Amino acid sequence: MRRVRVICLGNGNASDDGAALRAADALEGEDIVRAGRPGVELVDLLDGDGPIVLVDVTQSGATPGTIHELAMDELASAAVARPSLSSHGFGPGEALELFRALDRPLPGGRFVGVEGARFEPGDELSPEVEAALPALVRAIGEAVAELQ
Amino acid sequence: MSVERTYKVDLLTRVEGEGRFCLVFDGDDVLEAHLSIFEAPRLFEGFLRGRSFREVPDIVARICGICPVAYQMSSVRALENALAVTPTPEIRSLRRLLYCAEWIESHALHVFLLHAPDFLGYASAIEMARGHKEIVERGLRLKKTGNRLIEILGGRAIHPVSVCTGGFTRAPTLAELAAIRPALDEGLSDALATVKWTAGLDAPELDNDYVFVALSGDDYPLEWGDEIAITGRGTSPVEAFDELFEEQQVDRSNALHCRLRDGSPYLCGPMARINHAHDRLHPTAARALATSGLEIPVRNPYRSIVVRAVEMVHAFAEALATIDDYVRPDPPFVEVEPGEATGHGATEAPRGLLYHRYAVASDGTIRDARIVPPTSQNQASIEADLMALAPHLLALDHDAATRRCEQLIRAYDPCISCATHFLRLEIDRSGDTRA
Repeated sequence: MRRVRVICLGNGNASDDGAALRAADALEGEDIVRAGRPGVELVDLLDGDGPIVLVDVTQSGATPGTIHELAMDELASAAVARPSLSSHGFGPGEALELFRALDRPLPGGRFVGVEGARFEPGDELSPEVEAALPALVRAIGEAVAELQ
Repeated sequence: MSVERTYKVDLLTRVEGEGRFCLVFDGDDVLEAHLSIFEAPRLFEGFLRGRSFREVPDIVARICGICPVAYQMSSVRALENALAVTPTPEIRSLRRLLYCAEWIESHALHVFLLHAPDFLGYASAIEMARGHKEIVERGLRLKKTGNRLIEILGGRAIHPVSVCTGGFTRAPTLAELAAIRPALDEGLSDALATVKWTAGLDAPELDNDYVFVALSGDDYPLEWGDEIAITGRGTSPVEAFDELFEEQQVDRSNALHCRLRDGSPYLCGPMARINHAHDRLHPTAARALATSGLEIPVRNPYRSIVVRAVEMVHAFAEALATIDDYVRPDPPFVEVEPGEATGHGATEAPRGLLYHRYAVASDGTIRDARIVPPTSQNQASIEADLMALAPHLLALDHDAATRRCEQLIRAYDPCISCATHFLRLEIDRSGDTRA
């Protein structure tokens, strides 16, 4: 059985942006990384050994609470890199774009996301995302099982 | 007839946080040179009040994801001064090692991913990576090694948790430190190559007559020092901070502007440190500086990229020496008892002088906190630099002139998010509320 790291991104004080961290609270195991908003440090987190389940909150225009499951290469194509933003805005899109620019192989694993509705200051999730948390946790668990 | 020209960027890129700048000319006259910091204030000083002094290093670490160690170090210096605690030489040495690690990761981020694209004509590090893979990989390698060392000493790379008033909650074993030694050796080589590379970058000419401000002590300014050196004004004790400097609220910024008491702007950070303390660089870094062609005093802000590279060499060389002489502190902390007192402390964050002051109540709760980060101190100097740059922009087209301004601001490695926790509200009881 392979060790699978679950890397959860987001800001617990920005409403739905904290959904991946809330999911982390419901997961068990030693390999849960509550990465928050790691900035460029995400490059190192993605560069570790073994497969990864990367968990984040998305803004794609889908119905809030929708669960997205993507392969890393699909995520690299779907995520919108904002290369000129502040270093605080460095997220999965930028990290995977940098991997590609450097001809590094993309990290092995899967992406699991939940569509967010609101991102203003506050530690409560929107009702739609709160209701989707069990499905998010289940999807993460299935991805881990698949990669082990 | 004169023509008004405006150079502005509404959302500065490749900096930490959110701000804008605006430079307005009428003919050859500069009408305005403003750096505006609009990121929301975070009021850390306010919510430190009423918390135990023991919580302070963990709370202030949250001010910055890039330089949390700096906030921890200045806080423990101030609290230890207040509570009359002297850390052992072993604890001081370990703190210096942790701080070296932070300088490495912070300087590597800035040199390679934030500032270098300006010199090579790229809009971002990602674009630069396509044409300069080896350079960007070197930067990522350096940053990763800095982060690994922070993780060994601090428990985790971002917002480390081992620093406490009096020392550390846990000190690493010699074996843990020995494991990273090969990466530090490689890092030293990479840092030396970085000095050579940055020294060869084509930097715009600018020669500014700065007042440089840096911590002063026996060693290259970092985690310790009881005096502040100010160009042309000698040195003064850290606790005289308020007699030396004055903070002012300005309309355009959520960060206070800090100036010398006579109203002049000043510069803190790598250039200030190297100009005041180049004779205290590690010999390996001193040799790198000598071969870089950089002359002391460094007064061209665009050349600060070379200074950061020299400081990375210093940090690696000092980290290696510290590990070779490592004696694990046992216990890793000095017992600290609360008492009613006020203490001041300053250390050198990667971006410059970071001053803290705490008033502690007899039960150990914080009565008052004051934190003055380097970007707040450098704001007035950034605006003065934009004014000084103005004549050099006349020959450039609008886009090139705007990029030149951005490159100048980035030379400061401004951490806008750190600077924004200073907003004070003045409540006018007649009903008029203003920031």
